[in-house]
Amino acid sequence: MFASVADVKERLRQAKYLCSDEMATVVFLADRLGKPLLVEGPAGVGKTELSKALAEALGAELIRLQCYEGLDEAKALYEWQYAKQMLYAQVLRDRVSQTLSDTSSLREAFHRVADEEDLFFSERFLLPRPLLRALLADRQPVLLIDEVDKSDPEFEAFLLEVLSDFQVSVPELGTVQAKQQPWVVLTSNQARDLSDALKRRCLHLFINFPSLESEINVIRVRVPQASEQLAAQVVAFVQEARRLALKKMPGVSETIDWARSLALLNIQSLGQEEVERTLGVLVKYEEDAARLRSSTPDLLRRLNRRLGRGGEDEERRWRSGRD
Amino acid sequence: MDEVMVRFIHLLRQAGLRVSSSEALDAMRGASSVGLGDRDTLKSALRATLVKRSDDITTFDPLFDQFFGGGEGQSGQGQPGQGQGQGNPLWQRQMDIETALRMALEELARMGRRPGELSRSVLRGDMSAVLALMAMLGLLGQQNQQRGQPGQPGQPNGEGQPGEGQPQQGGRPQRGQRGQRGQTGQMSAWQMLEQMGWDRARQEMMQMLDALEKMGERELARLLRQRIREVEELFPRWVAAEAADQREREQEQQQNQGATSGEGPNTEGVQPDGPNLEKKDFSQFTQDEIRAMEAMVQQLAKRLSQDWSRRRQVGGRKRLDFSRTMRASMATNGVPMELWFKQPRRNRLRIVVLCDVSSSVRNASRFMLQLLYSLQHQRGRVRSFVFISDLTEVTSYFQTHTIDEAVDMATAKADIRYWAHSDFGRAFRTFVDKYPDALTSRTIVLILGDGRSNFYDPQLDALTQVHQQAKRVIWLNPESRWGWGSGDSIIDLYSQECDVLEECRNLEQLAAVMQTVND
Repeated sequence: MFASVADVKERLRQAKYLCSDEMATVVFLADRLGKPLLVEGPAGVGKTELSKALAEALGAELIRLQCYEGLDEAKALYEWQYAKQMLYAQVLRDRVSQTLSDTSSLREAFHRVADEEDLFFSERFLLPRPLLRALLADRQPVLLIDEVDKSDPEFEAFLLEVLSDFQVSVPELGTVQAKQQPWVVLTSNQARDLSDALKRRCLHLFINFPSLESEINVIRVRVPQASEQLAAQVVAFVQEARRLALKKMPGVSETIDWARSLALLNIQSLGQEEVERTLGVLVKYEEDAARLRSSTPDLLRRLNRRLGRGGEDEERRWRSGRD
Repeated sequence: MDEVMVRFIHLLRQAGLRVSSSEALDAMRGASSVGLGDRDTLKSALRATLVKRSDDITTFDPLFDQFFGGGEGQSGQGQPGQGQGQGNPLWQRQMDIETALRMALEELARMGRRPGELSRSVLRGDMSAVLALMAMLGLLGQQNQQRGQPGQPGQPNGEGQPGEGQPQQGGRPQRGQRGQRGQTGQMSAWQMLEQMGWDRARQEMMQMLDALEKMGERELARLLRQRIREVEELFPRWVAAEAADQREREQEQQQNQGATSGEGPNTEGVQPDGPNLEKKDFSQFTQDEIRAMEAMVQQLAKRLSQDWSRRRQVGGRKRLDFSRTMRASMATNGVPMELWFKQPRRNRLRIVVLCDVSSSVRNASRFMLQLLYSLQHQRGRVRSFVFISDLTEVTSYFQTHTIDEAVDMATAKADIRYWAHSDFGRAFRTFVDKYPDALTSRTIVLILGDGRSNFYDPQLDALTQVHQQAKRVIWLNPESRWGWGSGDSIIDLYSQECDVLEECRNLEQLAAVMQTVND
């Protein structure tokens, strides 16, 4: 439990995740209302990262369910371990015949076996998949359902049931009720619209690319080995690059990776050559790389002007220009 | 505080947001756990609980700023003109008026008087109650050729009414000339006002004011007087505008032969101060119709995409995957305990949409692009192309932009010479030649266009090729069926290569198409 919005912010910060007031407020609310949190936003702005940080801040286990096309209940919920059941049956064969030795009729033997069948369909042979694991956990876990938009509508409908009651029914065992209602985070890249029913059950958080200042702060926290100057340059460069029409805009995660690699190469300050050498970390398509390479001198000039003056006014003017 | 929230949510619903009651409850619980103290926190809290579609944020933000006062917080994006001028935020004022009203009514009740419905609702700014009253008196369908100044007494800066800025039908006077036309509008509005008992309501309002003054509530009395003055000035105009609006909608409906199915004219014609109006580019549609259409188009898209998956489950037997079963049986001493089946091929539907954006179907093409957009958001695998005579792919616009931007970009797409004449033959040819990978046996091709090809070579063989390679070809024609085959329309020729050809100019027909698509 978080005590207040400020508490959320502080504890996430300790988990090395910097969040805006808005994000902190929504997280706080989700915590208070016990509602799943649906996080949407472009790729690489830290949607998944948020749930990891949450788990750390809450000292909870993170259980992750990665969605993909064709994911079905069996893979998300539980599976029976047939092989293990079989093995047990083999090993216990003698014991079984011993038990059945004093039976006089087939019917009696059958009933005796039937009495014991619970043994073979017990939780011992159940292999819990992420969803069931989240329900069975003793301490409140953080359940991350990543990229829900990739799953099929049928699976989404199934999720709905789990998320509203936090219980599932396993035919052989009966209904499993959550021991602790898990803290649920769903993420979506908006590849498709989620159903209204699912959205209604969740609190909605839209994360966008951060401002210059906050992104610099993120880099300072996540890549402490990078110099202050480098961090500022890297972020300014990436933010400028996002304004180009790239196929895949570099996210915050790319900024972090890039800063980290530059720091690893002991680069103190960004120049044409440094950019070209490490471009692969930042962009993932050949076309984007070519595009970025050709506009690098321009970008560098612009960012130096911006950082050179560096005033807050400049920053604000730039940001309003972008909006 | 709950009352404030209920009011705000009511306002959001009027603006077209879908807020369910469970969300409303969440919002209230949310607001009470963060408190009303900090505006920005409250805003985030309400946004998280009430706004579930990122498109709606643009509606929500200005409404919030206006309702809870100022945009001058750190959010920094306060648009000028929103919530300007008033000392108190809107809701504070509203609450004060409510208090004043309650006290006045109590006082009058003690004297044995009970003011009528009209005066109370008008003072409260509850326009839906007034509309209900007008409907009861049969005032809304009246033939009344005057139109007046739109304005809403409940909210001081009442510009931006539904329907404003809409293109007028020929011969009708333009609306929205302040002052000038207001006079005649008021003249006829007086008759309606008379029937509603406006004179009595005015007397009652004065009585309420008196009662308050006698009680010594000077501050509240001052507020109420101010409100009464506003109401006296604006309400007659509002009545006139409302009546004119109503009539216009009816006429429009008749013209469109019931364009909207089930979605009657918006009886709650009162929009909050029009944050929606910016979105109003679709020349022929009112905001409500666009909303209704969005929902229907989404259903259409869903149905299109589920069509296949359902059939896959019903038909087709499972086939044993022998090698996998053998491999699995190793763990169980060669006893095949676990059977593996071949995965049925996931027949994910692919949709390719070809959309005509030429000037002959300009009005309809926005509507068509809306359909494209919804399709794309429903399913990842939609490829969209627009054409006039050149054809180009616009899939990426729809993937990365909001609906309004995407539609603008698609219509303004540089690769397309916008003033060219549409040439379906060439467009199909380009499609077949340039995008051969777009067609598979699982692809449904949706063509949206009027089939008026300006006497260019129809190049039927190109469409034939599309038809052969695709699973289905569905042609939606925005032109009235009566016009097909006349002049340069070669839709009849093309029809032999379409599995489905339907007229599709409004929601009703779109719904009908949904049926045929599903069989």
